[in-house]
Amino acid sequence: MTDEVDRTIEEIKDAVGPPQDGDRLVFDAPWQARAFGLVVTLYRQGLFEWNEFQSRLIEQVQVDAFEDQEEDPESVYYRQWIAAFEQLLADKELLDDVALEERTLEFAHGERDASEFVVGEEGGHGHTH
Amino acid sequence: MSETPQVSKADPKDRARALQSLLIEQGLASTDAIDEVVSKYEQEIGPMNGARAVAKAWTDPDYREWLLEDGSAALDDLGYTGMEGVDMGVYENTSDVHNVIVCTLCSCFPWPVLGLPPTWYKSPPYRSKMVKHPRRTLREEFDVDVSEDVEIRVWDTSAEVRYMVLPQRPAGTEGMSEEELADIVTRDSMIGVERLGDEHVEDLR
Repeated sequence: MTDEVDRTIEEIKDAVGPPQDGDRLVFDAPWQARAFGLVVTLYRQGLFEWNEFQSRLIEQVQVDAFEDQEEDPESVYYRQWIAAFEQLLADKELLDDVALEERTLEFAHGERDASEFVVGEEGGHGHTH
Repeated sequence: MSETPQVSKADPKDRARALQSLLIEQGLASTDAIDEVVSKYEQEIGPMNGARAVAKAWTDPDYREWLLEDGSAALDDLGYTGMEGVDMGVYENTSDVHNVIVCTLCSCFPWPVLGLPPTWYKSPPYRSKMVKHPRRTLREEFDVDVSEDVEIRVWDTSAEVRYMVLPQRPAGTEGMSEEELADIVTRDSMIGVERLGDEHVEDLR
């Protein structure tokens, strides 16, 4: 068993703290919201069945199970979520691996930033539907 | 699906942005649509949906029966439809049976009725402990002491079915309206890691 499994659920609850607004939860970080929103948006367009995504998420969770678990659990979860989504898009040939890698590096190096997602921003690449 | 793409080593923030950027470019997504999903799940879709269904089941015997027999249809009737193709199973806590939900494989959650999953639900300890030692986990981690003569049923989510617990209506709520009842139903009670009215355990026994 990993150390992570030996941690108590209580410890995780304490580390996270109580929800900000009663019983309501919000995303911890914009990238986590983005990851969730992307998957649900494409799913709603009928580009895949939910279990096609879920089966890849299960694989990611298994692969990740014994990795360093210092990372906070919210972050781990949505990182796995992204990895599953990338795999799904690749398997469905909806996204080119190389293009994805290039685009990721452009964001990492600051050649692009989130301002391209702001509606009405000059230089945005968005199609509005 | 064995090879891991190189980008998986990158910061997830950059990966999420790159995905959004490319998918928008390809016309498969729009920032508006993504933002709408996010705000829906943060603002509108949450445990209050499940709570309304629970309160209705407590006050309307026909609805209760329907909810337990065909959870998907009964929840759909209240407008809580979600991930199509996924059925909802609703299990009722009684004085003999205590139900609890978990997803051992990937932390899938009944989003349309309970909203976003809490952090601990997604954690490896919860996912492994609840299945192996439910009684102990409920007692030690959630302060829920289920007596030995009550059977504990752990429902592990599969690709086809999500679950929700119909908690027991606490004593002393007889005169309350459906709306008032909905207010006392918590997310944790519908996961099965809290018993409503437990703070008044003595009254319930």
